Amino acid sequence: MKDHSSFLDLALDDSMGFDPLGAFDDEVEEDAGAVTEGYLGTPHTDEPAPKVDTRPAAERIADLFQSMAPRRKTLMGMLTFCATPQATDALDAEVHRLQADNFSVYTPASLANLLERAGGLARVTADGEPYPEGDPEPVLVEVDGVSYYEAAEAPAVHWVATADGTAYAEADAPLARLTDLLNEDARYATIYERILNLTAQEGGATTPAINDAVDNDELLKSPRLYAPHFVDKLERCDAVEWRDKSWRITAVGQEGQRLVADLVAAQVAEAEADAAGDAPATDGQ
Amino acid sequence: MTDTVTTDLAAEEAADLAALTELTAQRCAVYRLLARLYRVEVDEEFLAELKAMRFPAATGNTAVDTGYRTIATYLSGADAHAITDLAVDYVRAFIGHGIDAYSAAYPFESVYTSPKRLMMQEARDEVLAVYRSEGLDKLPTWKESEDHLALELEFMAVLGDRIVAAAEAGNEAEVERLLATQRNFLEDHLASWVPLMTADLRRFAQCGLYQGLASLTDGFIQVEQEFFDEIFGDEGEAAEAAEADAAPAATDAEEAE
Repeated sequence: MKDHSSFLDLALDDSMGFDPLGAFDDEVEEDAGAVTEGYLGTPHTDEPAPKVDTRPAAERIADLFQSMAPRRKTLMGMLTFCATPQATDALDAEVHRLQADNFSVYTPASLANLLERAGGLARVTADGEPYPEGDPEPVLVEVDGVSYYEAAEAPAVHWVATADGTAYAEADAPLARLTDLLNEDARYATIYERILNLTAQEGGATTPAINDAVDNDELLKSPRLYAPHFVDKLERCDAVEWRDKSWRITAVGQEGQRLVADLVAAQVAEAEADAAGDAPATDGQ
Repeated sequence: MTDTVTTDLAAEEAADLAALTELTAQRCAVYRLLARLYRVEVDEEFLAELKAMRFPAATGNTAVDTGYRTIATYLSGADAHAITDLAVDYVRAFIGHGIDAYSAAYPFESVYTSPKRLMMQEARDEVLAVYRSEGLDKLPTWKESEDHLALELEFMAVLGDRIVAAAEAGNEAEVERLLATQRNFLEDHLASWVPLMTADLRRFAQCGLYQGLASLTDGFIQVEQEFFDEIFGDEGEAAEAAEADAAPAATDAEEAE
């Protein structure tokens, strides 16, 4: 039976009759000095030091959110969740909940570290006091006259949003972003309206359903655009979210439905007015 | 009278073997701990095991003591997110992100003993030959080359297990042969390149665990060398004395001619 805790196989057949050491002559040892001389002694003169970002926390947080746009919602959720000190386990559970429908290779620990480095989150004790710097000293114990070190029990780490982190979360206005988006993309208001209405259905809308409803619209022929382009923009405004294998409207999206309905109605009225203005005069015919 | 002396000698030898057995078992445990730390990243189970360990505080070797203390200090502050920190540091320390062969503490003997710091060089062939001479080969699940530090350390542990078994069976000749193999492998391989690797490990690792590991490894190799010097000391001195005796005789003979 093999010992699977080991990576050395103890079951090699001894009957091979192979003398592997015989395969080597003395040249290897003779050359060893020449091989290593002047090469392994090359000193590493540069001491790699961790880079310290000296920019203000607000700038670093904004930079983090910009560079990790696909994780924006999770990062924002973490800042909001940590309005009061939260234990590491609780924060991890919250991150798993936030990412339940949006798998990421980033672990809760990685995201928390990124936010901490950016100045958005801070480690505190359960009482909200700043977490002690450095690792605690190990405990020295004596057993049968011999001294040993044992790992000490450090205070449990809790996470809390910093003032800059809280300010960034509070400044987040998804409805304002959606309003800006609809104004900028007013030409595609009917497309946005169609997508929002589909996602507002019971059970949301699957990606193929949205594609079928949108991709063949004359508006999207030139320049050629496809449904995911608009869904992405809506998602960035927190108007829709991917949940239980379909796109679903959010509270922000419901507000957007009203905005886009007004926009479409105004466009229809304008078009009708233009059509009426352009109609040929019938008097005297 | 003669019977009494014989009995005393036998009892002394048995006591020596028992002491050697106990010491070798302890050495094996350290080799296995080091091998595990170098083999792959720390996982939750291993971290829990490390946190429950007691580390000797005063072994008599400064580097070993520093290593144990640094590791224990790191473990005292290791929280639930330590697994991720350690995984990141493992990659930073042992894998690196550069292509200049100087971007990490590569745990392969070939890298530190070949002119262009390449893997799979002569050192790998040599250690493979040594493993096979002892009837050992790597398992198919091991995907790295044979001169990985974890495997070299594990080889020493396997030899240690065999020493314990031979000592318990009263096979002194086998014990001596295995100890000589361990000493040769330590001198020809581990001691020849590991200090260079641990110097790099100190540069690249940021976590206390791997900083401590560098010190512990250096110190343990020193302790091992002292151990072998001690048990083979008489033989070594005898050989030196024989050489010294032979040299004047040869000179006399030459002069006579």
